[in-house]
Amino acid sequence: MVKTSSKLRWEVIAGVLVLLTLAMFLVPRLDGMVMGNDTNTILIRASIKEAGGFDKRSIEVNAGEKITFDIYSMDMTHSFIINDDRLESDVDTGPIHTGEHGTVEVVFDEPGEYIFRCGVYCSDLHGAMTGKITVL
Amino acid sequence: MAKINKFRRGNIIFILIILMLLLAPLGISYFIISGQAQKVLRAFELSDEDGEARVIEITASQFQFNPNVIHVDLGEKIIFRVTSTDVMHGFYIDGKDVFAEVPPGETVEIGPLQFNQPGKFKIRCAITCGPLHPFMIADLIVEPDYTLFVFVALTVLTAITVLLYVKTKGREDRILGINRKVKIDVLKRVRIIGPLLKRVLQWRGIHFVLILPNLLFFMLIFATGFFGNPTGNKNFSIAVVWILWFALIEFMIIFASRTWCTMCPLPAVGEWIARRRFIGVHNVRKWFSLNKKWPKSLDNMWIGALSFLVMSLMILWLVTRPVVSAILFLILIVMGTVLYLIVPARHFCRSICPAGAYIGYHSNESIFEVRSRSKAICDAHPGKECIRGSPKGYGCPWKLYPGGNQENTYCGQCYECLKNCPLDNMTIKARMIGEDLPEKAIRTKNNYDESWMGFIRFSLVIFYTLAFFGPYWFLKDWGNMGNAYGANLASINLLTPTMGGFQKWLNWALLVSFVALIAFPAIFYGFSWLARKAAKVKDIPTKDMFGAYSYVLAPFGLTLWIGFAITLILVNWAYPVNAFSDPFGWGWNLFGFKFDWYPIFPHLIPFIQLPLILLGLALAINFTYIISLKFFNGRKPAFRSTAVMTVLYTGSALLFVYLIG
Amino acid sequence: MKGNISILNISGAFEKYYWSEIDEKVISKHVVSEPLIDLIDHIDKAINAGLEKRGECAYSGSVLLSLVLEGTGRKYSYNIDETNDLYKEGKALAGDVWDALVDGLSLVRIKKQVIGSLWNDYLRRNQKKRSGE
Ligand code: SF4
Ligand SMILES: [Cu+2]
Ligand SMILES: [Cu+2]
Repeated sequence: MVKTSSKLRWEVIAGVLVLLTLAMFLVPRLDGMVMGNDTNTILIRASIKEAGGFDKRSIEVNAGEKITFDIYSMDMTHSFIINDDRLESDVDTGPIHTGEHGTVEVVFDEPGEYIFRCGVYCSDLHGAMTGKITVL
Repeated sequence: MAKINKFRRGNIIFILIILMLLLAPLGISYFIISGQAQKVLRAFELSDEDGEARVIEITASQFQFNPNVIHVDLGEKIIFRVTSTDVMHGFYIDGKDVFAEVPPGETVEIGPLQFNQPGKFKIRCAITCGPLHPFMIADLIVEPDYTLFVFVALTVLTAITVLLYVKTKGREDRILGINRKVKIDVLKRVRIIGPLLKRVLQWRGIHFVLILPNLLFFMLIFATGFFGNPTGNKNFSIAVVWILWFALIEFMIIFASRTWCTMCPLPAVGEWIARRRFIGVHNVRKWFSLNKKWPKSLDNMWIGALSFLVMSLMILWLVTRPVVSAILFLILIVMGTVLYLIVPARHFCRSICPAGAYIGYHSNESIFEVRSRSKAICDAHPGKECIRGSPKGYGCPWKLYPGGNQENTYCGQCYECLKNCPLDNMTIKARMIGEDLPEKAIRTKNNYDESWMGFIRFSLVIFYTLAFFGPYWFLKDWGNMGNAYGANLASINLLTPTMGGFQKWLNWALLVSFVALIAFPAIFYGFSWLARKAAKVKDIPTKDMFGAYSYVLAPFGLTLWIGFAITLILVNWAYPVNAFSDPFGWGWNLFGFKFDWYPIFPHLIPFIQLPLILLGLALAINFTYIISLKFFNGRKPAFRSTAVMTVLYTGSALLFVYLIG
Repeated sequence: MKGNISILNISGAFEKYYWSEIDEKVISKHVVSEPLIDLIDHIDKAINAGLEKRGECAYSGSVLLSLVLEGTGRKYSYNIDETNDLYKEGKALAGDVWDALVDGLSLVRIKKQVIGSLWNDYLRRNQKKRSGE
């Protein structure tokens, strides 16, 4: 038959390539790899409360360990603050603009529950943009 | 040989004229303006040594500055006191090195600043404060506004010059002094590149290879649009599509006609399934398709034009909410696929796709075309492989007769005809902008689909400019349905429109549709009527002149869109670039770069846009004259009617000049 | 006669555009009729796939043309008469073959008949040429 008509091999390769483009939907799974898996660094993504607030709202850490909080602002300028008498000083990342990271290191000595919140007005429900850290 | 020489000469003249058109206004106006500014400033320096700075109070809130048009005097010292009434905003002024933060509820003093260049500048929010942040803009007008004055003068001058040119030297085959009929057969005449290009385009895999990367991006667009950051400018699906792609398309039209359609993944899936092949030609010509016929009544640009309009009515959501964009593309790809499985041809692209419609409409301005070398050979060749197909390729999937094709509108550049033709009679040609536009305008009678596409595109470049870069918040608020939230799939409920929001959108929708579908066409019709009266001809109905003249909006509109595209890129280039490093907007940095947002030469943007407007205006006037010559076969009536239409074109150009200058 | 496939015109066209274009001195029986055999296979497939006769026979004209071009190692024909002749003859022959197949003639028989008469024609024409020398 005519040589220029289809060759099965190439069709199969092309088909596989097309199916591989679907792998783009797996890219979100790389999140852990891309952002690193350091157990003492906690990545929290911050959105306005209407869209979910902090993506981690309940966190467990061990007393006495040095924890790094890495806050990423998704949509608005947010911040990350903990005001608690049990801590030596207040925790405050300062304003973190959209698309930026802000980090702060904290050592929790006393077990118990601590509340963290956003310190920069970001939406109507800003006051409800909180989360809880349980220190074991 | 003689022909080629002529082309070379024409080419050089053409390039020179384009360069002059682009650079002269830029140079002249900048010169005059800065000269004037210096004079005035010197006067100020004498009288205003330690003058007190004026304080201007501005409030910033999602997503506007108030007041949104601010007038200051040339050389005046200004302190801006900016107060945010809600979230964190930024404050940036074109051409000034100011990036200020305005925290919620606080007041920040910026200045004193002195403004030494007259004209219109944009105050922009510099910190992402929500989905519409890129549109948070106010106008700062430094008076006396010589820039606007010079721009207006240049516009009028251009119109008069071109009118004088057509009156004295205008000829049917010349556009702005260049022979518009010379073409060059790229595949045969251009050394090295020509034969290479021919090899590549006749390779069966080329289509697939071009589509594949775009399909990959498309999947990424779905993934990011549905699951990525709800804020548009931090999300691949918005930043890359609506800034990079949207802008690039306008350039691609000029240089490569419908080349986007060569690589578009939207109809590809359906095409592959229907052919049962990705690359090759099916041996048995049986389509995996219902093989229905496309209804004749739908075989035009009406649906495409309207779908572009509808898309534009949603534009403020589309370009700011990833999930809305993802849903649009999902609808388009499903439609493209399903339609191919019903009618095995590119009818989705021909008649429905909003992008296909406007790309096709403007592609007649391209310097690129796929045509037959000799129409005589085609006429003497009943085999017509280009229509029916051959073992080397498919028959034209766009349902054209490639050998006899005379316009770019519906040629999707799939290059099947290049592969099919056994006589090697199909080729790519380089040509003059709008080479066959007047002929097309005359030929198309009693079909107004493309006319309305023209009105819609022309009106919408003005609305887009207003919505993206204008100071008037109410307009954006209308289009945005008064909604303050970004959204992906998880937070889509935030987009539930309120009654009030819907009413706002109705204002926007009615305004835009009224202007694009009724007001502008009506004015255009009025002018066509006047033009007919001025030409003193009886035998040509106004509607024919109206239809034919409307085609000059294709080059005119395209230059305006290119101006818009340049602004889009210069101001917001950082968003798409960063989106490659962090497609989901989750704080990744895949490639190790992350640029801060800053516009490039923002204070010079009007000077880049103006030459494009003038070029469009000049083309419009000259094409009108050529069309009139074809109508009346007399220079006098042709000139008279052209003069009447020029008034309308100049008015439209001035409106745009007013928005930018 | 039913199922009689006339190859007279085809052999004329082949003489002009196919056999004479092949570089080798001696052409085998297989090569002489190769394009036609492929064409007949193509038509058989088309019938089995339930395609419509008119469109498919016209397409067969193009198939024959590209088979001949391929057989003679060319990418294009720059000769419009060649394309038109081969197209026309291919189309006509395809119609005959189609009818024969539909009438129940077996594929093998048709091929045999075509190969046979084409070979005879080829020999006759070449003999004439040789004796004319
Ligand atoms: S383009 Fe080629 S195949 Fe089509 S009609 Fe012309 S010569 Fe024939
Ligand atoms: Cu917050
Ligand atoms: Cu803002």
